[in-house]
Amino acid sequence: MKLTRYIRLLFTFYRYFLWVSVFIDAACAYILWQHGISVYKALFWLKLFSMGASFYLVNEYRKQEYFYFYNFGFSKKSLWIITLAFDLLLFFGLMILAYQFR
Amino acid sequence: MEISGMRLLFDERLILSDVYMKIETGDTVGLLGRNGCGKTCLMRGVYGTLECEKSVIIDNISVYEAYKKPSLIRYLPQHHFIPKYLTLKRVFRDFAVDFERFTEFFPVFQLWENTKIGHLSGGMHRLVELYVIIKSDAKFILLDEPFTHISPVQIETIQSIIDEERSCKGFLITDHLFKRIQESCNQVYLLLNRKIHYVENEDDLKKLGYLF
Repeated sequence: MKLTRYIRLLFTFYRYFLWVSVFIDAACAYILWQHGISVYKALFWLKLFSMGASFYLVNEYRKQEYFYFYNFGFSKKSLWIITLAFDLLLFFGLMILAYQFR
Repeated sequence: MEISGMRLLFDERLILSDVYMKIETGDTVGLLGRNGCGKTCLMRGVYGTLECEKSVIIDNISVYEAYKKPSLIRYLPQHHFIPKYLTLKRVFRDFAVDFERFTEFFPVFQLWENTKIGHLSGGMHRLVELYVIIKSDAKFILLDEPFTHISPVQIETIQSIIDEERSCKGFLITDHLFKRIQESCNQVYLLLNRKIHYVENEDDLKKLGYLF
């Protein structure tokens, strides 16, 4: 599969929880900027909880749509590992930025 | 594609046993069966998204999770599966299928290239899903109750498209209606009491108790 199509399809899957994720990341960055590194541990657990909730909600309400991605050779495991890893990297990046700009 | 030794258990309840099927390029194989008899399980087992005992051989290569090789096999599930927020243009691009050709068959879609799938009616949605799967570049196509929600005129068009694609593909189609399966398929099987039975005509179905 062409790389552009591969990325496009992964982004399509990521869209299921993108906005929730952006909201959580922005809120966490703001809280870290306000209160400093002492709240980081709590924010990290909040992020993990939101990722778990996204996983549950997509599996519960969008499970039929996995077949769209299966038809391009993606397994459920590969979809989640790649998108959640990217999502977590984005979170770490934002946390570092918020800390630097304090 | 050769499927053999398929056996599926759900909580010690036997759903499928000793299933054997052979589909060659140029074949359209119909699979009949009552509700809940295991047609969808059989298809998902072949496709690799449902774990079961089986042997699936495509082009002399044994494949367990066939869906990981989309150039070999594609599957249309019974329910809508395209994310509602995608436009028709995007879906046709993903499946590398020509939208213009689609509108030649179904002119009603001419102005809808940028419409989101979720804004289409159930029948239109189904038609798009069915068309992209049939036309996509794969050697074998599994269609699970493809004609549900589609009007009779459109079913005829779809049957002609399947005939056109048969030259380079093999099809496995499930349905409840024998007449429809008979019209579109060159081989018919009945799934009954966990086993597959080859059916030649309506009398065979009567003997097996599928028709009265």
